[in-house]
This record gives sequence, C-alpha cells and structure tokens, in this order.
Amino acid sequence: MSHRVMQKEHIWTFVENLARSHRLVGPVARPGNQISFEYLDDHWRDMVLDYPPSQYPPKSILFPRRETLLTFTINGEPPQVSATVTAEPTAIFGIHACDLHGIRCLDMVFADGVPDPYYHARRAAALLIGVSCRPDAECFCASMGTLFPPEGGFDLFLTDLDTAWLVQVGSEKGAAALADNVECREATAEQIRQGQERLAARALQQKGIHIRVEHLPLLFGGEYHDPIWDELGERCISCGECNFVCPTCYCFDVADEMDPHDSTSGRRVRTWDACQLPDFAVVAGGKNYRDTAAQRNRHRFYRKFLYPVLKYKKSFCVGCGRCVRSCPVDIQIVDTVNHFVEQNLPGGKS
Amino acid sequence: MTDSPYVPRWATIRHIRRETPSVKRLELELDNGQALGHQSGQFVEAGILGLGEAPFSVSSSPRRTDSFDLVIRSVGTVSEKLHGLKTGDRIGIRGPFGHGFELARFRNRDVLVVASEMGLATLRSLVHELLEERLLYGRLMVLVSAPTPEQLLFKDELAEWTNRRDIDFYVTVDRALDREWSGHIGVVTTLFQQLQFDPKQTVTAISGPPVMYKYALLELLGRGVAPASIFLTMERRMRCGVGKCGHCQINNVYVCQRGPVLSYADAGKLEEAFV
Ligand SMILES: Cc1cc2nc3c(=O)[nH]c(=O)nc-3n(C[C@H](O)[C@H](O)[C@H](O)COP(=O)(O)OP(=O)(O)OC[C@H]3O[C@@H](n4cnc5c(N)ncnc54)[C@H](O)[C@@H]3O)c2cc1C
Ligand code: SF4
Ligand code: SF4
Ligand code: FES
Repeated sequence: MSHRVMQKEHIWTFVENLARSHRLVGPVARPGNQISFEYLDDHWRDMVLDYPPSQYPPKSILFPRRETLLTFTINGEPPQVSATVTAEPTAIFGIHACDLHGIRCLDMVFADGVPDPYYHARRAAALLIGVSCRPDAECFCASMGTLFPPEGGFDLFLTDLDTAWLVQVGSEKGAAALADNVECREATAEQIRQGQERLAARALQQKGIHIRVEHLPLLFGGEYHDPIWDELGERCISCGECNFVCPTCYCFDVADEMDPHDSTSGRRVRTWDACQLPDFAVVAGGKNYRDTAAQRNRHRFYRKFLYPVLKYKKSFCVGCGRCVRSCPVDIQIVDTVNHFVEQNLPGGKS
Repeated sequence: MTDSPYVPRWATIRHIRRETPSVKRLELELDNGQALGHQSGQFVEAGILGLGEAPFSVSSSPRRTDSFDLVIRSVGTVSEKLHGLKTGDRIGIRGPFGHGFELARFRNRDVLVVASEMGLATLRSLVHELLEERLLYGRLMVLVSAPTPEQLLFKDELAEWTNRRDIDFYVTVDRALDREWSGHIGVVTTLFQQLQFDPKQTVTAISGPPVMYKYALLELLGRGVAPASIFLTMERRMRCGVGKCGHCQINNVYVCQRGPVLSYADAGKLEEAFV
C-alpha cells in the first residue's frame, strides 16, 4: 500500500475529474446541522470534507433503503420475471473510517452463503474514498478498533495534513483513479507519520468501551439474563431508529407491489427492516418470538457484540455513536457494555 | 454473478386435495420436468407474483421426483391465495432451502416420529422416506395428533399406516364428539404413556406448535433420549430463505440455513428456541 500527497487546492479538480467517469456521492450539510450522503453529480462543490458523523451512514448507496429485486408481468404463461441487478460506477467520497468498517461488515454478510448479487454489483462498481473525521461526544471508534480505515476495505483514504492531503492508496482501483487524475507526489516518511498521528489523536477526547474487542464474546456470553435488559426495555419505545442509522444493520423485508397504472406488471422490493420493531419476529398464529422491548434490545446488542464476533471475527458495532444520537430515550451503548465490564471485572480493564 | 436467488422457478398445480376445512394439499410439477431436489424436512418459498411469498415444508418424499406436495393451511395473504388456485395454475417456487433430516443418523436405530397439527405436513416426507427404505431402520413409531378428528391431515394415509405391521402407529385428538371418534382423546404427549421404547436406541423427529415442544421434550429427556437424538423442526418468520433478512434468527442461528431441522443438542443451547 502506498501513500501519496495531494496539494490541498487539487482536491476539487480531483473530484471534478472523478465525476466524469463516476456518479458522485458525498457528504453535504443540511438544515439542522445534519450531514447527509447524497448523489451530487454536478453539485460536487457542495461536498463537505471536514465534518462530524453524518446522521445516516453511506450504507444506503450500497444497500438502498428500498430496492427492486425483480420486475414481473403476469399476463403471460409463464409470467415473465427479471432480476434487476444493475449498478453504475459510483464514487462514494468522504467516508469516515468507522463507516468503511461498516461497509466491511456488510461485505462479509452479503458474500456469506448465498451471495447477494444486488449488493455485490453495487459494491463492485463503487470507488470508496475515505476521509479523516471530526469526532463528537458520542464517538467511540478508538475502543472498537475502527479509528483507522480497514485493511483492504477502501480504495483511497485522505487524511488532512492542514497544508495537503495525505492519500493512502488501498487498492489497485484506488491507484488507477488517482493515476489518471491530478498530480500527486510520493509521501515522505514524516508525512505518513503525521497522518497516523492525526488519526490517532482523535482517540484522545473519546469515551470508549472498557474491554478489548476480542474479549467481547467472553463478556456477552454471561449477560443474557442481566436485569439491565428490562431497564432498557422499559424505556425503549421500539421505534427502530437505532437499526436504521446503524452502518452494519442489514435486516430487510421483501414484499410485492403492483404497478398502480397497470394491473399486469409489478415488482418485488426489499426494504430495510428493524429487529427493534415490535412485529419483527411474529409468525403465523400471532406468536411473537421477541415479544418485549427488553428481548429486542438484547438481540440488538448481541447482534453487534457477540454473534458476528463469533462468526466473522469482527464486531458489528463500529463505534459511530449514531444509535445513541438518534435514540429518543437516550439508550446508551457504551454505558451498557461498560456496565457489564464493571460487573465482571470491577474497577479494571481487560 | 447475475443469478438472483430471488428469481423463482415455475411449478404447475397438477392436483388439489382438501385435507381439512382450512388445509389443502397441492401436488406440483416443476416446469421442464425438473426434480425439486429436496431432503425431507427442507422447505421452499412459494409465491404468487404481486402478493408475495411464504415458507412451506415440502411434504412429499425426496424419491418422488416427478412432482412434490405442499400442504397449506389458509392463514393469511399468500396461503389464502394458494387456496383459491385451480389445477393448471402456476406458482413460483424458490428453494429447497435449509437443512433437512440427516438420515444417516437414523439408520439402524428405532425411529419415533411425533407430529402434531401442521407438523404432520412437515414430517410426512420423512415418514414416506423411512417407509421407502424400511429395512434400514429398526422400529418405526409414529404419533399423530390434531385438535379435532376433522383437522387430521392425510386421513387416507393414516388409515393405511394403522393397518401396516411395520409401523407402531398412534393417533389422538384433543377433543371430539362421541359419534365422530372412537379413538384416543388427549394431547399428543398422552400417547407416550402407551409407548414403550428403548431410549438409547431411539432417534426422534418432532414437529408441531411451539407448546407441544416443551411437553414432548420433557417426556423424551425424562425417559433418557439423548439430546443429539432428538430432531425438531423450527418455525420462524422468513422473508429471504438465504440467511440475509434476519427474520428467522434464533439467537445467532439462521433457521433458514442451519434449520429448519435442528437437533435438541443444538437448539437446547439457544435461549430463544423455546420461548
Ligand atoms: C420452515 C417453515 C415451514 C413451514 N411449513 C408450512 C407448511 O408446510 N404448511 C403451512 O401451512 N404452513 C407452513 N409454515 C407456516 C407458513 O409459512 C406461515 O403460515 C405463513 O405466514 C403463511 O403466509 P401467509 O402470507 O399466508 O400469511 P401472512 O399474511 O404472513 O399471515 C399469517 C399470520 O401471521 C401473522 N402475521 C404476519 N405478519 C404479521 C405482522 N406484521 N404483524 C402481526 N402478525 C403478523 C398473523 O397472525 C397472520 O394471521 C411454515 C413455516 C416455516 C418457517
Ligand atoms: S451499534 Fe450504534 S454505535 Fe455501533 S455501529 Fe451501530 S449505530 Fe454505530
Ligand atoms: S432508537 Fe432507542 S427507542 Fe428507538 S428502538 Fe432503538 S433503543 Fe429503542
Ligand atoms: S429467512 Fe431471511 S435470514 Fe432466514
């Protein structure tokens, strides 16, 4: 992996050139201090590169909130069905390190077992360009091991060195995108060190979980019946927002829709679903396998901190803090984990 | 990679049979004479374009390759629509999905099948398969129950099983009027009292509503059947069938992939399995 240095003022030329061969997605500022990832196309100048965590991660570009899986017409025999696997080259610009880790998690999920061609097509057509972040009070990436971009999980990563951008090249695709574009120089050892320091410095003001990520399975193994689940359950209003904003949540629903103007054609769509919504686990006859908010909260925590760590050797909480920022009743993820740490290792860290 | 796991194959309804007032059996044939290629215990997603899909057990033996049966209780959107179809109509089929019964673990052992209500739709394929290679197994005990006599599935086959000397067959209903039923009355676990078997030599397959599992497990474990010799089929909400949508999870287990058949040695460790 190589490091290059780009002059500060070249960044917009770089973006403009990329926009010629890619659809461009990047973070923009919206009213109410919200940052949102949007298709920018020729509005690329609106992009902000020094920004606090966005309200939603860029997940929806690769795994849309709502997408068509199949289109069909039912007036013939047999009915005609076609899968709508399409993707255009898309540069997703300005992704923070934690969100690159989130994409890494989705990569593993959608490649596992029966691979998902829809995600795969978009992912293969995407150029992931990361950028160093500006953490806020809810960030805890350092303790989740996501302060630095994931090895093999990005194409380019930009770190702000005040007078220049340090550009870490993470893939062949990234190298090619850079090569055909603006003038860059080889980074000096000093610049690389500075970049590392910049990223590491962000850890200093952060809160964090008081246990090493590898040890999470040991911790969560024993907390299934802790009374804290009931406490969280009493407060939680089961709105599902913590799922929707999470860069690693991937559950969905599948449903058919008929075309409103043509009763012979329609589509099968998938939409994000959320395990915190009350009827997520309801089966025929009305039985609900996770009937209480306490059970659903526990499931969410276990799906971040235990199950994927066992399966993929990676925590599916990447420390972005979004679920806390968006929770109407202030359910705290770090405090909850630390409550378990305190219970198991009083006063200590693992 | 453009093959979408969401594109169905087409199957034509060859025969429809009403099993009970709310259950129909559909005999289906895949286009181009393809075999479904399932194992006993596996399921398919059956769908109607414009309405959606739902999971159903394949209810016929894997050896019957020219057609297969789905046995459908009318409870909601898709199942009601399937009930309204006619012979010659087509439906979409995805799958088979998941893991069925590992028959290698049944060979040379006594087999106890416990099927309650719609559980018989799921276990019928297993019973058929065991009967087709009957000599490979020891005793075959089959316990069947339904809420009322009217709700018993496959009445013709049950009559045949009653008469076969190579099946110890027991059937019960939860309640019945005197004039319609002269057999045993009581929930399925009351049949255990009539049954002597060697717990060390016996493998069991159980399918039925969730409450039945608790009582059946108490009986079986109480008699000393090993958890690894008890196989259960698990029902959960399912949307994709391919381990992605998250709906079917029991703790960390995707039922659509690791199940729907799980051994009690595995399922017993899952806190959410029998809630
Ligand atoms: C592995 C497996 C095998 C199965 N095998 C069979 C089989 O062989 N035969 C069979 O008849 N069934 C079988 N089932 C059950 C069958 O899949 C369900 O009955 C399915 O719901 C039927 O779909 P539907 O569209 O007809 O009903 P739906 O429209 O999905 O509704 C069914 C019921 O589910 C509940 N429900 C659904 N959605 C919601 C919601 N959002 N909120 C609250 N309640 C809701 C309601 O109580 C409703 O009455 C199986 C299920 C699994 C998982
Ligand atoms: S669980 Fe919360 S903090 Fe962790 S990755 Fe998801 S949204 Fe971010
Ligand atoms: S955002 Fe908060 S209130 Fe809403 S479901 Fe999540 S934990 Fe519950
Ligand atoms: S049915 Fe979707 S994950 Fe199992």
